[in-house]
Amino acid sequence: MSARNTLLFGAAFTVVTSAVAADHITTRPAPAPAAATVNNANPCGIGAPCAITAGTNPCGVGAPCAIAPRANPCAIAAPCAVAPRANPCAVTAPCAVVPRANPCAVAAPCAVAAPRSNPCAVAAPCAVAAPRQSPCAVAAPCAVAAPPANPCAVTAPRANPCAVAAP
Amino acid sequence: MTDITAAPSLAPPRLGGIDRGPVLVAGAALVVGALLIADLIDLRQAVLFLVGGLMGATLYHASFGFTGGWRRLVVEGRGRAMRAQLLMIGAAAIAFIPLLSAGSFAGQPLVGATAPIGVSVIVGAALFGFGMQLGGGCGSGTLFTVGGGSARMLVTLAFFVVGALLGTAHLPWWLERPSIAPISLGAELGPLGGVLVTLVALAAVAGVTVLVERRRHGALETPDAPKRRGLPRFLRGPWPLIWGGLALAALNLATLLIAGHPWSITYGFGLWGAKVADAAGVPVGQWEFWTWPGQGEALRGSVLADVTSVMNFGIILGAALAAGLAGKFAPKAALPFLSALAAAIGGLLMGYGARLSFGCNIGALFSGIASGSLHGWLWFAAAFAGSWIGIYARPLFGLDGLKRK
Repeated sequence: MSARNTLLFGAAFTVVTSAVAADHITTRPAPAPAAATVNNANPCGIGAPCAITAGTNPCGVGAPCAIAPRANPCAIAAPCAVAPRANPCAVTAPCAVVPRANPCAVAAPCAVAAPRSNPCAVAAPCAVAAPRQSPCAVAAPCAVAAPPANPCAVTAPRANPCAVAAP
Repeated sequence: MTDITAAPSLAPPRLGGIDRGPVLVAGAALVVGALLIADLIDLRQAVLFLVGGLMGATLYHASFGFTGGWRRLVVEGRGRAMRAQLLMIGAAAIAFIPLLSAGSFAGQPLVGATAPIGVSVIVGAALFGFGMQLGGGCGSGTLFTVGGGSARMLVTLAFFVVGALLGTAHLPWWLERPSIAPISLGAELGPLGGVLVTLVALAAVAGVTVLVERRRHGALETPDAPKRRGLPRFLRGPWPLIWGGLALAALNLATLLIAGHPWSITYGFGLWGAKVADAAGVPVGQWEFWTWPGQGEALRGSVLADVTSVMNFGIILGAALAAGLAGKFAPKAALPFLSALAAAIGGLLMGYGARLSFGCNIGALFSGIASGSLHGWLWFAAAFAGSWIGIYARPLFGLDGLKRK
């Protein structure tokens, strides 16, 4: 054991421990993850964490799904895969419970892998091809449960790829 | 399997070949740290910290790293370490793919290490592979050798953090380069099909290492007879590579079940860099990456609330404990300027590359392939190519390179 290296590591340990303590004291701890339930497995549901804050709600009226691709959980450039915390399918998100409700799952109608059924895709013919599967359809659970939180709702026509006004 | 180099010890207090000081400090830090984290955050986070500690001890005692294993295959034609890595990934995949296909376990939602397949993965993984040969360790290798008291790897880690921070600055641009959606073998082929295809592919790579080794040496390498047996070997090492691999597979599974996502390392490095830069007045909070909801929350929150960071701390302390028990903590080793320069460049490239390619040898390769994500295979190929070039570059820095043994 090298005495010099041991001293170096002792100093490093002290500095890092102090830095972690200072960081914890000066920042607020992140809230504990909420347990997922069947109710909030619906990303558009009222009880879903997605719906809490409009800015982070991919289903919210003000959601930038159609505006900024990286904020769109269905887009290739979405931060889903970057880090669990940003992943709407991660522990804190309810989407992962029900694969078909998971906008990142390959089998999900929102998945990038299934662009033709992806309601976020510009050319998605979802309402035409499978109305009952389409979160844009009138009969879709999203639309029924929380019209204001539905990106496909009437109040967000420009974000609705199935709407007449959609590009 | 990293570049940790033990030298004859000179100094401080040793008890029966044990480095008592580091054992006491690391052991106490693990216990006190777990209690504090349980109190300040929650019990789950404390358990993950201890899982990290077990990972660190396993990595150290089994000398389980990717850098040396890949170099041994290329330089010496020996594939034993690589086969242990493949076994580890395969063992994890058998559990991961069905669990991830189910979506949850005992009420805990599970999500795999899946990511898009594109330019950012190819470029990032190649940079990472090149960097790990200069840096002397990969993501896990850097952590456990730092825990073991390697001064050189402290340089690598510092620049790893800087590189990861730079990666967060550029990631949004890289994500706009061509890529295709994540492809999960479990989702595409079903749990059984996903596991089978993954195991066959891993076995094929293992078969190539066997062919290479047999062609070069005529027979496969057999491990040296252990110097210790039983409990002394368990506590003080060294452990067989296969034990190490299987233990790490089990610990990654524990991570998946407890945290809800597989083991990752390098996200924590970017976060540490961002926190230091933020404290120094750099407006990282305005960088696009750190404005994303999850990243912003992590930046604003306590580092103790970040799973990856807490597990990284555990790995370093667990490795320090293991190194102390082995009587090999902080080996005396010279650090020539060129070697330190290689460590710095390697660390930078690894940090930057890991951010671009959605993780390192753990988050992208181990957890990615075990999750059934095809991006893990692309990462493997690109990183191995980068590593090959890195082996050629090592002599430029006074390190051993492609000298056949």
